[in-house]
Amino acid sequence: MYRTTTALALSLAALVPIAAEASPVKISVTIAQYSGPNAFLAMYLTDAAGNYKSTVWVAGGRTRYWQHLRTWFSATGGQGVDGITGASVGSGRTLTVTTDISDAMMQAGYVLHVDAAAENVAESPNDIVVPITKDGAGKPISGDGFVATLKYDL
Amino acid sequence: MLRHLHSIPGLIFGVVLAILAATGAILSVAPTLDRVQAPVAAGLTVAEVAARAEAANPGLGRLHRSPNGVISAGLKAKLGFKTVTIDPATGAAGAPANEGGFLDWVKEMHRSFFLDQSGHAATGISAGVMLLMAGSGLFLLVLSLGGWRSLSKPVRAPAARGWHARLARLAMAGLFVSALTGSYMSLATFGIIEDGTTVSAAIPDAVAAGSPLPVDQLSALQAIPLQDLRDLTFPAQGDPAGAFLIQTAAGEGYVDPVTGQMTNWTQYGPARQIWEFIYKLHTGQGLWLVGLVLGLSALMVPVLSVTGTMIWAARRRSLPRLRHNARAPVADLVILVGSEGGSTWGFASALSDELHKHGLNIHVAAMNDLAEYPQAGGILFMTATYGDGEPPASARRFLDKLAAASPMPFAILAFGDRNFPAYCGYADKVGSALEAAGWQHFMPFGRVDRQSAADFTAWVQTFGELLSLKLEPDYHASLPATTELELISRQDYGAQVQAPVAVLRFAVVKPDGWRGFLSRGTRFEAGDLLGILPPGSALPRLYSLASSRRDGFVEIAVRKMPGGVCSPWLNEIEPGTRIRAFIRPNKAFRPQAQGPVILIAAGTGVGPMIGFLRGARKGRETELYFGARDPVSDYLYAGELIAGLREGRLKRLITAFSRTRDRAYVQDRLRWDAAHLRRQIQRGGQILVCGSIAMARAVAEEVEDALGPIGISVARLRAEGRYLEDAY
Repeated sequence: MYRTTTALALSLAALVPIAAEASPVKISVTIAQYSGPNAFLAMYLTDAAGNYKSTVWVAGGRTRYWQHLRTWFSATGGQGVDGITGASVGSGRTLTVTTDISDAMMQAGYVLHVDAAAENVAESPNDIVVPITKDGAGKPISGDGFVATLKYDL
Repeated sequence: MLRHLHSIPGLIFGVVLAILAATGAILSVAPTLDRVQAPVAAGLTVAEVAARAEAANPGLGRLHRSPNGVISAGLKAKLGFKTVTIDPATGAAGAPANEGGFLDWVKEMHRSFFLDQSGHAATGISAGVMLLMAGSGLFLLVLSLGGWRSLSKPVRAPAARGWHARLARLAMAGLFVSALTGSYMSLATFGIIEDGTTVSAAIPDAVAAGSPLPVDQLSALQAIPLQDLRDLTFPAQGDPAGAFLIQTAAGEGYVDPVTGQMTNWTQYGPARQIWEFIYKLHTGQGLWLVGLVLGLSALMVPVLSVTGTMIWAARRRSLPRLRHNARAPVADLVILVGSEGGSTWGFASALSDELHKHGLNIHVAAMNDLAEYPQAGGILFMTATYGDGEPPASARRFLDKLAAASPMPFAILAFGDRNFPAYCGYADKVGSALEAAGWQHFMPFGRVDRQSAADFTAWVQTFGELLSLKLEPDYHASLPATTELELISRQDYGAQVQAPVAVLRFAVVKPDGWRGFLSRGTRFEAGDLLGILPPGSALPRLYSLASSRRDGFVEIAVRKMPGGVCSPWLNEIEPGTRIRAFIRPNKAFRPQAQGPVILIAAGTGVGPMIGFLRGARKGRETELYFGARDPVSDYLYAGELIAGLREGRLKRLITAFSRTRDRAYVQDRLRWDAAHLRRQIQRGGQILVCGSIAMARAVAEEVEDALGPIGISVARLRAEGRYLEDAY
């Protein structure tokens, strides 16, 4: 059970810069136009080899649907994560979150993954996969699934 | 208290509940539509259908079967995704499903008002409120009908109140199911109730090495018949570690695309089975007939919201507006009111105002607020009765408080409906309790039948005589809209026997325009009451109708009462005269549709009986006992009665004339016919009495005696709706 209030408190805490070498990264995800209920999203980071490192954000607080964000859910050991969750995202909407990614992680070639799913529409693990680099910042990347565009700003 | 528990949440949530119910009613049709459209797919396995669908639809990501048997597929489009229905025989895509159609919009509205998580919470709370409304409503209904056993009895309440109760009773069971299952589903959504949906098969770490098999050769999917399928998710394209996720009613697991074997199969537990069942019950998915019944019940909710608000508004309007209420310690006289709907307060207020004019300090309060009144000369209790002798809302705690009060002189004016078996039953209980506590009457017990202003005025005048005051209370019942009537004919009887009676026949005057169109709809039946306002009086007089709308005229029989206000005027008006009148329905006073009917009337009481006979079928077992003075002078409707006998609409006619050699009254005829009466009652007969109060009392005694040998009382017949009175 993840109560909204605790979720909010913890997510706010996550937005506070925690270390000097970490730079805040603003990630904007725009969902494609589709017919159906709001999409659940999981944004998470892996290293260049694809090993799960951390969860950036989960949109959609109802944990019983999390198994449909299959790659992410599996990577967290079938547990999901507590704290960094918010509302699911409707067709055509943009979700913006801010997270901290250290320069070291960027140099190591960390990759941002988005798993997406919407009830009775589709499950789309790795809906979009984007390496995070200093050069890529500010350039929108197009997807062909739930995520129409993804952009990150340093 | 119970009433507030019903009305306050009802007012706050009325609109929300109406929206939820209306959307629910629309959704309830979906399972039936699905069932009609669902393809017949006997003997197919998930493997076969999945292979066909995959071959026919590139980009197939998932396959879904609704509980009604509709197969749909989720496809990856060039951009985004789409959902289509699938013909299981060919795998070919049919109509697009889930394309943001009307039903999808309605569904999202029903589930969350398009407000995501907070919307889900709001609909969940609303389901709980609906449960509260249904529960409190059921108790209110039971109270007003006089007990759980009376729950199927006809509802006797006017307009909005009547329809609210009748529709609510019809919809009650369905609404309970919808609200209860909806509350459960909401609690499950928020994880407060364990629904077993968090149980999921562990995702396999890897699949076997090798090349994947075609879908139709996966043995685990070959073993599952199509009708057990819930959902089949294909491995994501380009995911070498991806397995098929198969979900059935029993459980879920992953199918290795290389070996075709099931891995990590997880059986759903009882919590999940309960959730499935409740989900089906709520949505009608797979239970289309249940869905329709629940939908019909839900359709009543918007009507209940509107009628409920009307009842609340009417009650508020009728709340007392006491202009000169004295404080309890200085009151000369105390009026304590027992009222459910508020109308008794109106009478109390009128009496209080009139007494105030004569310089008396009057304190008016609810019976629940019984206190000590050091200056008061006495207490007047004005109380209605709720249901079968139960206290009305403002008197519910009275009897508990009585023990602590010091005895005072008292009087009771009881308000009730003569058609109820427990006429003024609660007032009787109060009287007995007061006497038992040593209180003394200062006036005999008074009764007001169906808010009759005439009964009330008569009692107040008697009360005034006691105080040596001439009291003329200004009581205005809220009058319904009146219609204009024109006298088209009159027939006079009874002048020779000093009992002038006029049979007056009116036509409805049709106003111009839309009002005229509306007035065509004025419905009335024989036995209803016609309220007439005589010139210069604010009190309407009520006369029983002798005709129905289909007769095309409005007819009453009026006896001229010496010293009266209305009847002498009516006995003098000439054809062409226009009067204003309104219909007060009296639905309780109607002959039954099946079985023998015994009509007993005296004088002008024959009016409604004639009306009943005019509309009767031939061959009905209807008989009439009719008492008058002299056949040559006041034998009303003689011609029509004879014609009724001849045409078979009336089976027996038994007359009694008091001013002939016979000197007989109807009750004498009943005594002689006692054996016949017993037989008719045992065959399910019904008795309707219309005449003066004295006549009605004498008839009731006679019937009581006649039925004694078979152990049936008039009270029991009244309770069964088989002994009806219209007495004046």
